[in-house]
Amino acid sequence: MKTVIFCSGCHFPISIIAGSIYMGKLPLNFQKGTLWDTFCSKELYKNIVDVVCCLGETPDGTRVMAFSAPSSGHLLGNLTSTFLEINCIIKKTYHVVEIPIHKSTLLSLGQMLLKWPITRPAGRRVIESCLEKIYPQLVQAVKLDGNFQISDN
Amino acid sequence: MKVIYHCYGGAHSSVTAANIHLGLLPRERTPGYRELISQKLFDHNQVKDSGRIILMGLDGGGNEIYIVGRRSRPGLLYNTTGCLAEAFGINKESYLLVDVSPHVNITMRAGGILSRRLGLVAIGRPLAAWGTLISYRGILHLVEKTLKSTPTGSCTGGGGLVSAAS
Repeated sequence: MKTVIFCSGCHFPISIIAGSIYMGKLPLNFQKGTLWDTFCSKELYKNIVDVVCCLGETPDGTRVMAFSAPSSGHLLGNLTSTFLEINCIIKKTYHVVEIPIHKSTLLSLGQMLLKWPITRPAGRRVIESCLEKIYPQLVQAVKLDGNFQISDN
Repeated sequence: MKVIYHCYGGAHSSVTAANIHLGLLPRERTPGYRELISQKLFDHNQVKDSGRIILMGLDGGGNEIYIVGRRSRPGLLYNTTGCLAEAFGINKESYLLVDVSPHVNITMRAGGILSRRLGLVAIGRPLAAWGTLISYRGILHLVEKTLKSTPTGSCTGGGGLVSAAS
């Protein structure tokens, strides 16, 4: 079984969004509603930093995992690659994708605003506008580094 | 068995611990300054190397000895290795993570920042080496404890924590 591992060093677990794009759960073009429904409304962004999320499998049997560690994306990428390497896991069976977005103050702010009911709508707007900006980068990372053939149709 | 010594930068304390484990540094006495700075990979790892697990060698019992710098995120190291082991069917008893950071003193920290982060090797390296010499007995004690949990030819210990604090 092939495994694709997305790593990000952002406070907001964007590796999970990248993984969801890879799996086809999220569209290639940014859609506020879809993203919010599948990711934010289920509060998937909570308590998923510093831990590994197994997002499931694609129809072709590729397992998708996502790691998020604030300010430690590169560390995470190195750690994952070398740990699997020293344990003689064949390199062909896994692929580590480092998401090139490391820090976003706005995303952190939005995430903080989501904590309180009164500031939640503002938090949602901040997160959505921020994700809208970085979404093409995420899609690009999934397409290029994920070595994944996504149909643009 | 794989023994992975880890600390903040993977440049001083974990390297020293690994070299003591491998018998490249003395166990019966504190080494001299020259002896310490000439050890393999001492004050070598850069910031970009953080998270990279580096093989230092094989000990007498055939155990593989590694070092890794994991910044201030030991939890991240434990979680990541644990989750990856689970996902890829790696036996958690086949590796042992040893935290050397309780033996990192303020002098080593200052030396490490100056040498590795700011590139002031001429000041930072002697300072880090001096700090390592101060902590040498503690690191040695930790290595001896680790050696007891990795007896020759057997696999014990697991992916647990060995630290001086316990």
